[in-house]
Amino acid sequence: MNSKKVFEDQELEKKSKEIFETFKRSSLGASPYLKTRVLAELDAKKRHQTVVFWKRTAIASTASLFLLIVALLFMFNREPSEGFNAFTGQPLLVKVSISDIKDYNVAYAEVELPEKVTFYSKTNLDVMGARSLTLFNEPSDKDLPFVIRSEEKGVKEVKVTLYDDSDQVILEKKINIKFVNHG
Amino acid sequence: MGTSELDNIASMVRLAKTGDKEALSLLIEATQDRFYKFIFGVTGNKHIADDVCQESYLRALEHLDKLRDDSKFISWLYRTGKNAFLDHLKQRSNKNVSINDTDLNDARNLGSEAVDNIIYINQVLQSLGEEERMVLLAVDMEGNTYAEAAELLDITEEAVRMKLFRARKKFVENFETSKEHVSSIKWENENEFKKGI
Repeated sequence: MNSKKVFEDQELEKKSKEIFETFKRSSLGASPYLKTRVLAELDAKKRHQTVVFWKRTAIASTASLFLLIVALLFMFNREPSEGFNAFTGQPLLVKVSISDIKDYNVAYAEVELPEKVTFYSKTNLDVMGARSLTLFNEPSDKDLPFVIRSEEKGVKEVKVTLYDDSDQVILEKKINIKFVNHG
Repeated sequence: MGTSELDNIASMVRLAKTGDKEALSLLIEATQDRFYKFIFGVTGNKHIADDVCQESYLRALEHLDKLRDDSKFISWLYRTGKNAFLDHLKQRSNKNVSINDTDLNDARNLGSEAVDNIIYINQVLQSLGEEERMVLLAVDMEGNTYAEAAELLDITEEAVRMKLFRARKKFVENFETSKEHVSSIKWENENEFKKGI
């Protein structure tokens, strides 16, 4: 770079910086509402993210609820060498976990059973043989247990509907249980 | 920007990351005017500058937890500003985003004696390409070194050097021409006014 070019560069730099001095000194500034708008918008976004989080949690809870039921069924009735099957004529304990959705204040659940499947209870004869039942929930309860028995083999659909204290449906779930003949 | 000011901003960023709203508020206050001047220079339009400025803060603060080095907040904000402006240009690619009468009136309402100069500067800045404008503002207005400007704008130091030379040349020449042109218009108007009397 020759000295003339260096001089030209320096002159340009000097002039450019001088011009910008006016710009820098000017009272030109951000809107007085900028800060308020940004903070309000950030708050709104945060609230929206919280709602999305809870929606996702609810969906995840539903999935985990289903998995838990399947796992429980498996634990109570598993056969080591085969996949899980419930046995016809044998009582089967089903536990619907509600700990993941306790914020929704589950007040009660309605359980509906298909043909040839009935509730089973040694102590409560009213329940024995029924195909629909309302289970009331205490705030401390972590799950809603019930026992069923099938007279027939095949896949049976159990419908569980959870309600809050305003009788609004919180969650509806259909559980398919495969029954096989005992022995 | 001095070291103590940068330290101060880094402390605000640290607190803001923990969700401290007061720190967030102070962080905006501490940086907004300087950042706004840069964005105004880049956009050449008060309303667009308002929007881009707001969008930049939103993006930068919303993802503040991703900023590893708290002392780099200014670079983070300027890079976000550059991207927000480029996104704005993409969205409005079919519309004219150059300075208009409303913006000139807004500038006149600033009440400064240097208003005419701001208008000329703004007009001349808009005659440069976007990258040239940003480099020029980052170095000659903001006082950043080539390395700092490269970091702010996410380009190489060599690119800064090349763009800056071209930008300065065009900027200074166009500014002088624009000023002479406006002065002569003013002079003619003044003579016509006197003749009218």
